[in-house]
Amino acid sequence: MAQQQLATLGGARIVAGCVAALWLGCTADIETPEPLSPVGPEQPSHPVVPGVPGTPGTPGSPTTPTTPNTPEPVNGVAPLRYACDANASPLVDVPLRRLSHRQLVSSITTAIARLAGSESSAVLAESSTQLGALPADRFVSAANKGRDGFERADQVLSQDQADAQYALAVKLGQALTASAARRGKVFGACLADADTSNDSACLDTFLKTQGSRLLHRPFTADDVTFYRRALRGTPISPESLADVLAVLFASPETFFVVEGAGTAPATASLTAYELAARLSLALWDELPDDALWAAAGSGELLTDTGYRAQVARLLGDARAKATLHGFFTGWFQLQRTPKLTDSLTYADYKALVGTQALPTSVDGVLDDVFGAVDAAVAGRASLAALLQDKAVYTRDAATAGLYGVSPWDGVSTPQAPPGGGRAGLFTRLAFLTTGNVSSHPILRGVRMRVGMLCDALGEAPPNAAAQAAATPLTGTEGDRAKASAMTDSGGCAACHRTSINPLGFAFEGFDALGRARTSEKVFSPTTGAVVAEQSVDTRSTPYVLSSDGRPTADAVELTARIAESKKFESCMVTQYFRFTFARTGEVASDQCLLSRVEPLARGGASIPEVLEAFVTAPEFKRRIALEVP
Amino acid sequence: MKFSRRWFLRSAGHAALAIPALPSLLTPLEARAQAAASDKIFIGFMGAYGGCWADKFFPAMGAAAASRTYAGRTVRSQALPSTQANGETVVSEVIRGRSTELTPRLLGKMNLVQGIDLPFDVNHHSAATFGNFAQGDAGVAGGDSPTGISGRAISAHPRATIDQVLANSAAFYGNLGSVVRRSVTISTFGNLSYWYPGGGEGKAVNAGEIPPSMSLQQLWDLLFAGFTAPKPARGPVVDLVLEDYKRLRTNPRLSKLDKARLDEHVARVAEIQRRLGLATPTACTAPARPGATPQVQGNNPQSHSDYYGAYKDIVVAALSCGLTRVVSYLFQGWDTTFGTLINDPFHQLVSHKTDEAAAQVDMDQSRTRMFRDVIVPLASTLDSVTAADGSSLLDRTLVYFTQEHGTYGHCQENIPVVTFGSARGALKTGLHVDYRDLTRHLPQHYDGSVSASTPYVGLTFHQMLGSMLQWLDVPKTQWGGPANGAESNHGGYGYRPPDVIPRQSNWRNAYEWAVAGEKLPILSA
Repeated sequence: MAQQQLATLGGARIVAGCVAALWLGCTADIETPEPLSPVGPEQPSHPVVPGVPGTPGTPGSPTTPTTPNTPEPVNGVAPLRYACDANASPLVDVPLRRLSHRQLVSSITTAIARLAGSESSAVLAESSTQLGALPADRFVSAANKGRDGFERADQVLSQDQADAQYALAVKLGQALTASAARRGKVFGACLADADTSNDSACLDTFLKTQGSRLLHRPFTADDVTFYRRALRGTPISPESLADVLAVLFASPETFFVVEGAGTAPATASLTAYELAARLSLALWDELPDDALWAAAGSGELLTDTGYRAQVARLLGDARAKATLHGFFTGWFQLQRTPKLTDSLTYADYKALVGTQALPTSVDGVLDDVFGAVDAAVAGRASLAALLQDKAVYTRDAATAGLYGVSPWDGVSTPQAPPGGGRAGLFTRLAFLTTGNVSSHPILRGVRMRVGMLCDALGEAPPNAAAQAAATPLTGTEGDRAKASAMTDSGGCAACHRTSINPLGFAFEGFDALGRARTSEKVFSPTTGAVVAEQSVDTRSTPYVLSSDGRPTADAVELTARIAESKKFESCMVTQYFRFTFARTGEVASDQCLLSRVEPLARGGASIPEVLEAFVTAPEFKRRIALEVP
Repeated sequence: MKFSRRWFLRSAGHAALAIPALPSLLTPLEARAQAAASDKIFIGFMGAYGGCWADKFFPAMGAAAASRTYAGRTVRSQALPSTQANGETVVSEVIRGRSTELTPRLLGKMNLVQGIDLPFDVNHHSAATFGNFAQGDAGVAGGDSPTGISGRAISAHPRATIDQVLANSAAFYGNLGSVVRRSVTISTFGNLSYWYPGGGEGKAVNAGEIPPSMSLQQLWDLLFAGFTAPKPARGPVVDLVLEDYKRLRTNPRLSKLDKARLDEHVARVAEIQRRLGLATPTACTAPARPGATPQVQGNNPQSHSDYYGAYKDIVVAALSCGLTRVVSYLFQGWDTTFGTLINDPFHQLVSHKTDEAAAQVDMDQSRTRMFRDVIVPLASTLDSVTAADGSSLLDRTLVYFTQEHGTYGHCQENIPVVTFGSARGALKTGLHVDYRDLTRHLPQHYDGSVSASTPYVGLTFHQMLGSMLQWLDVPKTQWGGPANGAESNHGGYGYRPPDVIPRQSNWRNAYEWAVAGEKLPILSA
């Protein structure tokens, strides 16, 4: 059960303990690339094909293979995480990826708008029950712990999905043909007027144009013949048209990303339409729009210039912003952001809140992060700039109040909070709020170590929680002292003292509501009375690198140390790779792509440049499967 | 809702109506197959956490207990004892029910099973005692400890949970009849049910998740929506949709894995096709669609009872109408522990503190509420729905309760099992059975130590699960043997990992694997 609990840890009242300790191996800085999942059986090795772009040593490949990770850091800089292995098999994609819930809903919504025009709102409203029944995705990571991961990586197929897609397709068919006006918009006047002599040709035209858009590939004559089989009797009735639409919306190609595949780079290039769909889904979470479709149709998309122009256009669109918010939600674990009013029934939490106005939703807290991301992207800033941007972007008054600033108006230069304690990204409320009275330095430390630095951590040994619970406490300890008491001895100590707790202790200058503090009041859990007041200690030796034993004074110094290490940038490259390819981990062959992007990100490239590097890579433009019969 | 004898007769009639061909039109072979088709029912319950001491959960084995030698040990059994107190029938400190529900008749259809073990570490899980041992988190939770190594040895070998084996079994569902859902799972969230088309070997554990229904309305819609939906004037387009999928399958650029995944989805579209082909139920009345689902209220255990208890009427109606025959409940530890604490506080302060009397009280009471408020009322209602021959719906049923851990937090031995119903006489009932070998203690997981407080060697869940499948008419050929994975090394249900740690080899080899493929003695009729 614990793994499911961790998946929704946000609002939980957690007894801080050795809940996330490393058992062994906690000195490793770099998470070992994990087996690709859920591909299936262990993958056989494939030879790399010489002469193919992307293969190390091949002319045209962006990088020369780098030296494998050097063991010693230089001036606090982490070694590169990835190195291209010339002998590794080529990147292998997840088989028959399905659209994520977000992608499916967006694609259908866009298609309805294209088909029904001014009637689309009514059609969607009539279909809202069926749309709402499409099963949501979960955040999926390699360890399936709910700490990180992306909804795109949830590739589970279920009967519920099949049922919901079918029911939605039938409903959409009915709604789109419910009136002559709608039929006219969808199929054209020729199928809505009284003249039935031209209906057949009219339908064929619809299938070749709009039908192909729904399936995001050109229609063949066989396709037209097939979908015409939904017609029953003549003349063509509205019910028959509804059935044609239902079969189209229920098609496998509205649910799965159907891409041809080869066994080696030379044979695995995507078609223009497949590439258009892949690009649009990657950057917009929906299927190609008119311009991208046209670029695919004209062949322009298969030219370097034409492709880059489309990438730039898509990245500059608001839909890319929304998708990027989805990426940062998964990476920063924003789905776990607690709603701060949920725990007011607890006496100690209520006492901590006091008269502080609390945001009644998480929106303001999330907008603060997304605002920073948007500003960085719009300003073509680097990841390091995002890391250290101290401005508050929330427009919610209660959220801003927790920072001690006025809400941002969305126009003027956003303010930084008063005092010098805020360090940037990691001192935003989304990283600090815990949902209960404790600041939870252990959980904060785990989130930093695993999520933000991409270091590998195991979990506690089975008896660790019992050990923590058995720790004698007086009830007057502050959060740091309590965490230390529970984890400074026994099997927990080796990892908590170096890999976990110090990262969390650096943020002890902020309470469970994310407010700056210089001392910590300890409340009675039953009455809320103050039973002690402890000084706050933010000093620690965070071991951003396992070999870096330099202490830091607080969150500001820790953030500077992380910036110096470049691990944040390397971690982003890892996470964006997984997001883009709907993956939960990497295999050795992925490192050739990753090893090209990583130095770019660490070298100060802007965030859009890093995204571009992924979607313009040769590996993005082809699909290699294990076997093609 | 009251369920009368007449209800059952009507629903039986409905089931007959739903059979697509009259018996006289069947060939002799088809008629025999249909006559032999199972009509049994499985209802599973999985409770989060655990850690009730054996003497709280089970009654003492009386002096009159029977004993026999089996698997090198003496196994014991007795008729379930009970007393009456405060309007309750009391079997043990934990197992009790309202006297009006846990009657002598129902007690005679119940079993308490002691001494069933998970013979390796799975740490936290919600599906291991249903057969998916890989679903536990020992592999990641235990790092490179013996627990972690043992866990990882299992985690790469997912298997379907037995509710899904049943749901997809040709023997169990040889005649789907009026079945609209092969299985349903009920929870607040989380996963108990796992199915891996083509087998789970080498697949990601979560690839097989079957999400639960999380509201009364959702469950009702799954089962009863067809009762109220107007019959469309036109035939469904599902035939063409299915053909479209099969058309795609001929695409020469798809890989074998692409096609395997497509096939998985095609099977689900085919299931839609089957359902849409069912006759409109006319002889069975749907209960009213519920207006609201009881809200779970954090630390209020009564609200946990109310939440799960509210599903009873829909479940019994659906079983009576033949709309499904597999129902599973996951009592989720995140928000419905049935205790006064939920999620991690329950984990830390109750489940981990079973050596403390105060914590033990909350644990005991949480188990009692599961039984008294949810399981016993359901079993009682099933037993009140009777057929013309006097048998009840419960008599066709195997109700199975188990929980995450055994007699203390994280203990994976001696996980209590409770059953109701005889699955049409396939198992004996009214018994308390103890399969433990009271002469042999198991080593402690973490340090290998053996003491008087470490559990006794029991029998394996492999044997328990395999027995249940056989009691429910699913032969080994559908789940055991080399064709179904690595089960050929024992014969029971589920994966047995290789011995990866010498210390644990001793532990694992304490089990009598030679009998794992046998139906459990004493209980098997």
